[in-house]
Amino acid sequence: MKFIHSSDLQIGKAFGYFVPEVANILQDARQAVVRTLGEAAVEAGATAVLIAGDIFEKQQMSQQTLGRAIENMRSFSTVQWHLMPGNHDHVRESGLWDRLARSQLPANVSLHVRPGAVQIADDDGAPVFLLPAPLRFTSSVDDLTAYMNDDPTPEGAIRIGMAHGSIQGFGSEGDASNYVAPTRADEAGLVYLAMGDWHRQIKVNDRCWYSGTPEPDQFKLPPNAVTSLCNGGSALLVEVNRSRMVPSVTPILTGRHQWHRIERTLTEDSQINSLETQLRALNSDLSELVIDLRVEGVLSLSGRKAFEEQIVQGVGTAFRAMRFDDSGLALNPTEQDLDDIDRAGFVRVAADRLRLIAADASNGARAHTAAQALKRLYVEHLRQGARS
Amino acid sequence: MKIRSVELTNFRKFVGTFRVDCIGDNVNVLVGRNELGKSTLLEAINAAIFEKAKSTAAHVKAFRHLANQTVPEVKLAFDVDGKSWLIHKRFAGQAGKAMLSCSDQRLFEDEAAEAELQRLLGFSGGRSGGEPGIWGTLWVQQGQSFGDVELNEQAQRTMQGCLEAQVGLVTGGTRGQKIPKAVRDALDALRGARGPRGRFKDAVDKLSDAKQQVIDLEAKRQAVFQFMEDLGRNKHDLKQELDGWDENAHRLELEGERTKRTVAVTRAAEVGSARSAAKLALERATQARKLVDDRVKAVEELRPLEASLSELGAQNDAALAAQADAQVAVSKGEAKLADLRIKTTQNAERTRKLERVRNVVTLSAEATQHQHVIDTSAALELERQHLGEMIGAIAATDEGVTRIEEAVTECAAADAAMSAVATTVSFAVHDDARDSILVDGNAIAASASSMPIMGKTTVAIARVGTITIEPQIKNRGALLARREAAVQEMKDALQAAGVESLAAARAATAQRKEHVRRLSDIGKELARLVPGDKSKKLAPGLDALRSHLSELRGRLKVDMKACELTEIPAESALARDIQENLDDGARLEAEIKTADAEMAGPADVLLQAEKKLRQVRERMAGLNGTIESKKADLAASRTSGSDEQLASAAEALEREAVVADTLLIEKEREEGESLEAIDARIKRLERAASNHHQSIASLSNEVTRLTALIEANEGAGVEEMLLGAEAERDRLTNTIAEFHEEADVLQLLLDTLETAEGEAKTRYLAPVVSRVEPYLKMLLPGSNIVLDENLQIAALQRSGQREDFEVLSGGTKEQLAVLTRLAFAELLLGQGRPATVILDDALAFSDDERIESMFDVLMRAGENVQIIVLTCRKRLFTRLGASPLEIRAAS
Repeated sequence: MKFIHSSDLQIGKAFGYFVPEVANILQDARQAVVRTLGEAAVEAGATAVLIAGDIFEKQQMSQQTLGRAIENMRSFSTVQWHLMPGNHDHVRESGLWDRLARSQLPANVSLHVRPGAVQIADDDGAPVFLLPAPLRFTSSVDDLTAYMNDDPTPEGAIRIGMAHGSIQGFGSEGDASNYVAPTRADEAGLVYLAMGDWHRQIKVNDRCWYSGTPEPDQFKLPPNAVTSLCNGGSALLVEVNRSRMVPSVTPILTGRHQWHRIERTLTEDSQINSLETQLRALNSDLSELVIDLRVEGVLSLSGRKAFEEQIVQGVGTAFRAMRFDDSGLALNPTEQDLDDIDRAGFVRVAADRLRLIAADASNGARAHTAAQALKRLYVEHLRQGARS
Repeated sequence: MKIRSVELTNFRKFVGTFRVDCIGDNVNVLVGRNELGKSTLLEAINAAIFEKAKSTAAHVKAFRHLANQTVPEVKLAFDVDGKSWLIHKRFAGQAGKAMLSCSDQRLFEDEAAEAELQRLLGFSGGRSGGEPGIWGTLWVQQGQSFGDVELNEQAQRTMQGCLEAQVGLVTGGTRGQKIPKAVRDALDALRGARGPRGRFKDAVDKLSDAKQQVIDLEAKRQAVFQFMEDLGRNKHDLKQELDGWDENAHRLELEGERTKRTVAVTRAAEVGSARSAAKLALERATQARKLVDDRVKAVEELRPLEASLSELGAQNDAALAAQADAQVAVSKGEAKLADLRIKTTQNAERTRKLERVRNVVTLSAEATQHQHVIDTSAALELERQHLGEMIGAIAATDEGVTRIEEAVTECAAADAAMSAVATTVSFAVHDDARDSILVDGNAIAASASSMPIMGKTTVAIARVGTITIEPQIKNRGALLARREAAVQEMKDALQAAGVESLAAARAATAQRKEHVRRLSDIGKELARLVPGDKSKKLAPGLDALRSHLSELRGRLKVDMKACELTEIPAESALARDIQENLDDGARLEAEIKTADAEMAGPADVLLQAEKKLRQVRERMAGLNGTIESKKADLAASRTSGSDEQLASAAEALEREAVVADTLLIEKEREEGESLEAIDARIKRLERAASNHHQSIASLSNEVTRLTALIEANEGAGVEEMLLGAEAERDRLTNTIAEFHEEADVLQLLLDTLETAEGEAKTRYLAPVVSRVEPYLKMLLPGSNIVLDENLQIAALQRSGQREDFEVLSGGTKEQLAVLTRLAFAELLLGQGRPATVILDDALAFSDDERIESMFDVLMRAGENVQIIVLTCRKRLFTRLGASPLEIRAAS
């Protein structure tokens, strides 16, 4: 049997650090990824999509948000969607899952809000059982998958586990909670344990995988990252059979956007050109990128001006969104910078004074303000020069 | 530059050629009356330098004479840089001509002349003419000297150039001037004195809204979660309520309890009955036992009472003996008193008799008086005379009858009092011996009889002798006197009534009443004749009077008879007799009082003895009564049963009570659970069922309500909205932080720029200020002048107080303006530039003192600067001490 394993869609998530227009696009991408998953399933001949928790960002979502997700699932009639609550959308009395259950759910959408083996398919005569471990609270002390060890299924059945939480002793990403034993798949005779919660795709062992979020949502790099690409953006195509052989697990790309976190130290104005080149080389379509750019180091006033023009006002506008942090980027005005402002007169006197304040490390906040003021003076002087 | 001479030909009002020459290096003054043409002279100097000869401008055309319109010409000779120059201009429009010649033989014509002139004097040219620039400041036209020193842009540039040449480059040039403005504009757009503006303010306002929205949504989110929790709890409670209740079992239990209750009611009735029986038996036994006890008690109580009675008997005997002793002493006193009282009685009798005699005399007098009236109306009286006489003949009246009745009663009372204390002598003799016994000489009435005796009585027994009995009765004398007085009173009353007995008196009275009634009828007629006398109860009318008279006469007759009078005695003799008798009475009364006093002691002893005897007898009588009563009670009680029977009955009843009580205990033991307990349980079970049903209804309602609330809220997606609101809030917070930072950056930049600029201006204003100050000391010692960056006078500082230029007086303003112009001129000269100061009618507002100081200033400045003063005030300006100038017609 082939199925798609995904998790942490967190549909409805907000992106407060971007302007509303961008935030809306990023939100929309999280809805759209449902279709991407459906299309991937159809393309790969998979008959089911397992979503291991956190389908929605919160409990109280609008009807529009819920309805649109479910309607997208409905449209893939050959695919059975298996949804399980996670910590963001855990089960609670009269909560989101009750509401979904009350609604006119399409036949190809199954909710798994209680632990216990449920037959979901028949793979050439071998019944396929899903053993979900839904969360009833944001955080549980008990290992909710423990029951799988003892929950019987018919002889020869294919047992697939589905859980949401942290694999005990395996890495430590974020605030680990809802621990799951790393040996659960073997102990419970699971052919595959589909994990959710972590947004990075991780293979825990041959039978236990985190799918990661199918659409990236944070500027978080995997450990020992060699590229600037952040976590998320893919799902897993899994093929299991009754032989209890190791399942075939294949990552598939699903993200509409790629999120990059780029940190650069600039010490010479000439490095601005190389930074621009690097940014442009990230993707052929820069509008698919969401960038977190952090620059530090020292630039002259003219260098800073070039940075603004080439990076912020230039390539930066080509990205879907760019978060930009230059708090670590100091200004070191050169004599030429100051001469550009004026060689004499009170403006030059003021520029000299600002440079002195900016260089005074004993008062960081004032130094920063002075540096910004100097930059402003530089720009203003050039602007006035251009007008006169 | 120094102006040496000016020549005008056909310029404005001047027709022909006029000159002012011999203009000196220092201070020159041209004094002239109004309309002389001083201002025209200044205008001509201006025209020679700044207006192009070929100018066709209207104001240049206006140089022509108003009437003859001939071509005006001006020649101006001046020295610059050690050379002498002459500019000659003919203002003839396109045909105009300009010629500039120098002492070094150079000659410039027309445009060349204009250009060279500009170069020499440092002003810029225009198409029609030159811009006077700083010259406009130095050459002050009439009526303009008192204002501030306004420098136009060109003049400012001239001065700045001049100052920068002296103090170095301090401004940032044109661009530098624009930067603070741009920064200020940017800052103003962002933040004003009252806080954020524009986009910044919008963001702040929106943040406030967003925060409120977050708070509202958070509250709503919590509310929905609370609904969910409440719903869960209610469902759980409902399930527990339903699971923990068995309706059938409850019904059976309730029925069982009700059956139990019926049984308990029957048993309770039996116990009640047994309790009543036991109570009754106990009461009866208690009562019987009490009867037994009471009888024993009564028998025991009699014994001490009888002992007390015996004791009292002894006390009675002792008291009788004491009484007898006291009686002897009292009897003696009483004998004496009796004698005195007899005498007193006789005296009283005599008194009464004399009173009657006096009445007779009074009656006689009254009758005599009435007779006179009656005689007058005898005819009327005749008819009733007879009746009156008949009434008068009857002495008995109601009062008389009452008096007789009272006397009879008193006699009876006296007899009774005597017989109460009389000693009773009883006789028991054989009938045949009865005649042998005489009591006080009288035979006794019967063989066995008894008689009371009061006084000494002798009983004579034939052939035996006599027995004398003398009872010792207390107050015997008083008692005898009382009886005698009563007998006497009765005699008197009968006598007064003229009857023998009370019955006769009553009959006579009745007869008399009849007569009176009849007389009354006639009296009504007589009332008209005789008014009557209320004081004598005499009715009006003659009849009454006649009756009255007849009555009087009748009474008089009776009274005289009673008094044994044959005639009416004399009143004096009667009065004497009455007095004597009264004296005797008083004497007797005194003697009685003495005798009474003598008898008081024995009488008191007797009284005490009698009191003691009486007390003893009273106690004996009381005790005797009690004893008799108790004995009677006991006897009566015993008639219903003997003591033994009574005790036996009590014991039987007590046994019955024990039996009844035992039965009660047995019944109570058999009673089992109380009715109250069963009732309480039934009530509890009923309430439990009611509570259960209410709880089910309430929980079901709550579940329905909460489900409806949740369903109503869930479609809105409160948490999703909250996410959006929080994102908006965070975005705005960041935006505001950026605005704050930008404003801080702009503020720092602006502050730094303004500080630097202010310092620079102070530096570059210093040369001007330093040139003004010496003059200022001369004019206003202790003052400083404050110039702004535009070289305008901002304020004056005196004694540390700043006074803005605008608020200064007109005179002071004008003086300061002149000083500043002098300083500008000196500064220009110091930089090797041409400068001459011309003041047309200046200092018009200065007072005498100040103008003297200003003269000093001008003269001192004139040492460096050529100054030309044009004035109409000849007398005043003669004190200036300047070189005088004249406008003269050219020869």
